[in-house]
Amino acid sequence: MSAAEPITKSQLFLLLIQVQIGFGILYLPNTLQQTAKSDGWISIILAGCTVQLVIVLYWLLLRRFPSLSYFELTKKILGAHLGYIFNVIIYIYLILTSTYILIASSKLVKNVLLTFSPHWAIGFLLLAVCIYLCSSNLQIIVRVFTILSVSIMFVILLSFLSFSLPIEVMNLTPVGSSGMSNIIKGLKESLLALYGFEIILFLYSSARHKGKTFLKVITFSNIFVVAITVYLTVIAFVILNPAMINQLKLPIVYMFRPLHFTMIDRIDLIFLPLWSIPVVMSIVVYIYFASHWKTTAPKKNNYFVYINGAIVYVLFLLASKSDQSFELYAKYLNSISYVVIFMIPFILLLFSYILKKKEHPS
Amino acid sequence: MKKFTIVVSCIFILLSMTGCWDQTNLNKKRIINGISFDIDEQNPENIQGAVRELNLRGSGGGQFDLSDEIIEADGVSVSKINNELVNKISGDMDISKAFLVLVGEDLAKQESISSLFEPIVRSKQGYLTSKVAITKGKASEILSLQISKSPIAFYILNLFENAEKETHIPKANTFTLWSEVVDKEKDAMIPYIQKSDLNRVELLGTALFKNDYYTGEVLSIDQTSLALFMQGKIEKPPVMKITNDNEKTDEFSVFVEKVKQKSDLTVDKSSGKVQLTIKVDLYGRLQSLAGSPKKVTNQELDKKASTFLTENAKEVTEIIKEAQSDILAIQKQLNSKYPDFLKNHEWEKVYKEIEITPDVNMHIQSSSNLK
Amino acid sequence: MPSKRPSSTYDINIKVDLIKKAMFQSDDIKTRTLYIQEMQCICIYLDSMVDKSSFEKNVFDPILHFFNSEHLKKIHKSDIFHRISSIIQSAEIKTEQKTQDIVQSLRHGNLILLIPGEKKAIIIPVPNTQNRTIAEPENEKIIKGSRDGFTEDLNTNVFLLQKRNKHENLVTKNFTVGRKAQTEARLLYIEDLVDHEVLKEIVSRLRNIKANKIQSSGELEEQIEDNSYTVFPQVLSTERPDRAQAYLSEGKIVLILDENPQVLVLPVTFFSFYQSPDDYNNRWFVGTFFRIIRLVSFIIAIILPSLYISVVSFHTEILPLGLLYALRVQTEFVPLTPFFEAITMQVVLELLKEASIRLPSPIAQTIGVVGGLVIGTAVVEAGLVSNVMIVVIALTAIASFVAPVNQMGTGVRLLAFPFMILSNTFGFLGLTASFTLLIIHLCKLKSFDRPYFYPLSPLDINGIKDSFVRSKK
Repeated sequence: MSAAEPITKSQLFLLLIQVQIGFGILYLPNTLQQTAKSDGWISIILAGCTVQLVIVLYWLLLRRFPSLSYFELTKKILGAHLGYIFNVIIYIYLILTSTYILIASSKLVKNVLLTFSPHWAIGFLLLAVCIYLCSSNLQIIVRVFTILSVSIMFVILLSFLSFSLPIEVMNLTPVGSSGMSNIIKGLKESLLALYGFEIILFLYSSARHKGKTFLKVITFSNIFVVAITVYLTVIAFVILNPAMINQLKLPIVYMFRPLHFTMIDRIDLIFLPLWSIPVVMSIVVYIYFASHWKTTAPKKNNYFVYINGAIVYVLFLLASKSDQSFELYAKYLNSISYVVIFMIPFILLLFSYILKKKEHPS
Repeated sequence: MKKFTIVVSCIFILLSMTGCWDQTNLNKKRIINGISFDIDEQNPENIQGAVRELNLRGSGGGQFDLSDEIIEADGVSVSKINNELVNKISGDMDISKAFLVLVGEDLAKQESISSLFEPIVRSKQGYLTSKVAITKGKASEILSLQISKSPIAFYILNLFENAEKETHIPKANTFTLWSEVVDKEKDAMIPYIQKSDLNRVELLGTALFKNDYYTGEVLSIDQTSLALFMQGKIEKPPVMKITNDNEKTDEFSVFVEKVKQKSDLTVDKSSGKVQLTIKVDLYGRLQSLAGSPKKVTNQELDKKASTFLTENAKEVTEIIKEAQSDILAIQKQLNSKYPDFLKNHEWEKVYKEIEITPDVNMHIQSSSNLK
Repeated sequence: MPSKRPSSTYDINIKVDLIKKAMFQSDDIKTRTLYIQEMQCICIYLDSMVDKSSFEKNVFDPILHFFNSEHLKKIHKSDIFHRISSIIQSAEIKTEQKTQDIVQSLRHGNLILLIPGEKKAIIIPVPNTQNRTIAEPENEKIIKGSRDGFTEDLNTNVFLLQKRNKHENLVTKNFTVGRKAQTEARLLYIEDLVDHEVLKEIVSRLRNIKANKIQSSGELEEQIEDNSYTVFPQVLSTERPDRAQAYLSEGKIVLILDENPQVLVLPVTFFSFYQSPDDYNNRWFVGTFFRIIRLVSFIIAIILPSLYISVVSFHTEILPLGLLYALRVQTEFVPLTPFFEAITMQVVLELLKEASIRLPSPIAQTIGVVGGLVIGTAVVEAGLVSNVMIVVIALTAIASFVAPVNQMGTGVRLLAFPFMILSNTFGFLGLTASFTLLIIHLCKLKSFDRPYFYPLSPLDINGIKDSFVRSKK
């Protein structure tokens, strides 16, 4: 019944922005300071344009197969065997990404909130919340995301408070001083912060509105995410000066620290738990699709969810031991993400046009 | 499956209940309310740190007794002092609400300020909105003052908060100080206080910084207000006193309600000469006018005030130029307007030769109740 | 004739014996013999269950009067049965043949008339209706609004609803629930408004009840609800006809169980538990204000203790100076950690509540005073618990009692415990995580296959207008 209920426009929008907004933004001003410096916001906008280009290509591909899930689609275009291999790669990507998000969030929490708590405990808590949601159907997941989007709104409201700090607009000028090559380098960094849009590939078949409306929704969500990212980065640059951003691990979290009001001090301690919820919840979407690559009975899929959860937890325990292992992990993930986000969809698109494969309207 | 999940979560809950890793006991915390740094007299290499710890004791019926004690320690670095203090304080030292940091002027001249504040800024708990000040003489002397029952730190906090509202001193706290010290394009100015004769604390003005170090130059309170106007900052209407050296009867003072600041930076490319004009428009109303019945028009007063303030502003610019303290963020303006200029010129030389022309205009808009 | 007794008389005596046997010779069974045209008929009834004056007046008098009148011609034997049926003054007369059914109807307060030569027994309802008068329910008071309440009588309850629905197509369906001891139940809904899918689901669930006997609406609720592993009630039970009526006109279904003044409303959403019929008697913004206050109370009841725990034992940095010093002084000599303080005080609170709830009200007041004031102050003065904790727990308790429907308030107080456990381990992160878990749980819950958290999930802006806000009509 409700399992087959398609995702509405607003639900799709809210789901996408929450998957796309991640912990990456929190580090972004710092990483941008290494390359594009005060022109970082240009890099983010350029990265947003790149993402836009990619999602248009995704859309071109998905439009041809409106009712097939992504895992079925690969098989349909490339044949059962090759498709299967591709699916395995995608599956690995999904699992690795969820592990990566889990590690990063637990590191974040450990950094700012709970210094002495062990990783296994923080990770377990966060993952348990995700698995609990994941063991239901997509409709429920989407509904939960709709409600949780309040926390993003709340975070944006919190960010307005930071205007009470001294602001130095001159930190941004002169525009374009860091040069084209640095801006391009910054683009690469910003692209990492915008990852999450690849989930579009999996969502098309369950969306209610397909075709042009779908494109419109995903474009809006992309614009929104880019706008938020630019906004937060710009305030970070304006409030903290470049030298400070260079020193700070998490400029956007730190920015909230000097705020104090008569009833409350240390807004950063409120900001982070609020931020971590939508971030961690994006794991749900990844694990959900990793567990549903075969459309079987819902009971059985729940079983897969638990197994995948266990895999993610084990990988998490292995990689969270030290910073080196995490960096190594990030490197592997980075290369596989290029394959999954850019290469596979393009290959699929190319083949579908060359072989003229298209879903027959039934 | 359901049973399995329940078992796993039960185990987890049990494990985490025994953990409670980050939990701290509030009643074991010793709350520090003030920190001071000085040069150790016996061993000039060392820093002498002192903290003021608030010992609260409930005496029943919602009342509580304060006993405020000072604990001192010295060491080569702040972290060393911290370690020593931890061993001297009974309970967990909690610096998360240390809202006052005082630095002795001798130390501030000698030791880079960022090395003093680095542990505070880095730590998870450090209180970034704590007030900072340079003290004339030893900082610990001020911190150990005992004014009636209220802890000295609160006394100073209130003093500062009030002065900030009156635009007598800049809004300086650890965060702004850190940000200005780290930022090479701008220098910091922070309040300067001293212990007065009657064992009170007195605000003298602001201490000027150059990069990491205190320059030794101080702006008086009136000068600070002017400097703040030149930065375009204003809080609650401050009173500007306009005096005339020749005639005492000509004195009058003005509430400044609004400030408009406009600075214009020009660089002569060929000579490398930098010119900065700061135009400050002050709008206010008359507070008092000596020589009672008013014979002069507002315009005349405007004129008098403008020349007087412009002259004073010139003095301010002279002082900051001498101190090489770039509190007006000229370097930042320069970099943002002429990004390549400082690549060829050395900033220090440029700053020495820079021509700053302040132009303060007073606009008295009302004479309050009296005509 | 070989036997003195006619075979038919013999027949009914056997029948009487059979019935008595089936009732285990209970002394409550009374028989009375009457002669109709010299035929010996027997009435059987349960002494306690029938209204004697009513059956004298409505059954015996007409029969005796009719058959003893002089101008009556002799009626043929086979005709008597029908004749009797037509002269008895009673609303519905049934006939039963099986002993089992007869016994069953005997137990329901019927009079059984056995006529010789007739296999079927006439069953005449003459129930002894000792009903409570319709009064305002004690535990669901409102300030403005109607003052009637449901009673234990099924028909009265249906009447109360029917009377409010003169202009709608109110449909009543009869059910019996329980396999052995069958209890009567009525399903009421408004035909044009009801969701037929839900109706079908409810009917099938009612039919599939496996329990042997269901006597209270709570048991019935447990049998038909979707998820038993939750503190949230998925069926709303109320004693107020106006509330039930409000839901009926929203297209909900009302289920009434015999002998139960609590009427079940289904399917419900979470927000139904925070609405009161009062809201519609107030000006709309007053109503809205109270609704929002109630929802805020829900959040306070759940998170306040855990918020306190996580602030005091994890994130004291977040407190401004004055507050921190105040808390620091309060907790100076408290030996317990905030977590155990909170747990103990919550338990003490529940004890007080349980102790006073069932006592006659003068004693309950004493308990309230002793418990609340004496223990409260003594515990603080003895330095066992901090003052602030008492304030927190008291606020939590008050907030949980705000819920207009009692079921929810209790659930909410239970829910505070897992929140406290998680915040005691992870501080703010534990708090947000448990809040997220709560939201997920609410989104996953269903009441008769309809989303429980409805206007929020799935999001429906128009729905919000009437659940958060009491919008102008």
